[in-house]
Amino acid sequence: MDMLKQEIKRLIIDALDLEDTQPEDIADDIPLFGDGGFGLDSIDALELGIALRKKYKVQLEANDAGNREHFRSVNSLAQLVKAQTQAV
Amino acid sequence: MARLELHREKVLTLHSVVLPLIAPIARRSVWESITDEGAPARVPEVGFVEPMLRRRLSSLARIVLHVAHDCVRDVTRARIVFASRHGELARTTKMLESLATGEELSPTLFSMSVLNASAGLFSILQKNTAPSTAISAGTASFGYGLLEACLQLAERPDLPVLYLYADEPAPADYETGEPLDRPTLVLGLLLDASASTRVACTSLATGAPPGNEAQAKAFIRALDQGEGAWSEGGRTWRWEKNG
Repeated sequence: MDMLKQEIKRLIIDALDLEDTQPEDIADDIPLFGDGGFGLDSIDALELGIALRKKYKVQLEANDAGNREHFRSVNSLAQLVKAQTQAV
Repeated sequence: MARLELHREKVLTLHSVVLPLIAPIARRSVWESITDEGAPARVPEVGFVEPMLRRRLSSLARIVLHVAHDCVRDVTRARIVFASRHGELARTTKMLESLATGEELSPTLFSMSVLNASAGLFSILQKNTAPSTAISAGTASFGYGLLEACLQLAERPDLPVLYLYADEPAPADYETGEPLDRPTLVLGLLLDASASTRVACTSLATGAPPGNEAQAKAFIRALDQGEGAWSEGGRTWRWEKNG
């Protein structure tokens, strides 16, 4: 799981061109979106969705209310990836 | 036929009324990808742009923001006229390549791929709600953009106009006929009715053969040496600086 979290942090940095950010700068439980968190925006959410689909074949529904919860933090993204890759 | 002639006469009348236009230039800033010494120039750092916005800038957008920032300084309320032949075409090309290979389109690329993306970003950074105009007119984009900027200033002299011209060569796939090794050139001019540097601009049918130079380079020559001219399609654009 820690390996996966590390991998997701690297994916976030690469997919979103976070030039001066290192994986250790992103805490596992920091809210990724919105004020007071890591500060990503809605374009980042779309970009990240594409990167997750490409790397992990994660299935995401466009209007799924659960997406907000899945994209909350590195922890929740790792759970999403783990759940979907185990289900296959 | 008679109606067509009439129409043409009107256009000619309009030209003779508005030309020569005077461009009063308060400040200018130029960035070229090749320095005067022939070395490649470094893309500016644009440290005044916050990192979360900066990461999405193309190199052309970085240069435009740098030049715009250098031009306006304390003038936070100015209309913006942005001219470019190709704008952010490199980004559009990347998206077309993704489509061709069946990949999903990048939302970041999409959101920043319009011709005048950098002018829009600059207005957001400055919280500047004054009007913003974008012009694209082939190889004469610089001249027509300046024409637009001068007309806007003539119409309302109390609000300065920031004129931005920016072009990098189109990706090779486009075969525009322009030299691919032509340097990226970004030129910013702050037009202010009270400026003492004044450049007279004319555009006349002369039948002169086209040259090989970028149009904006001829204008920069006028600023530096007093006079510059550029021809294409039998029309000659001429700029002359006062004194």
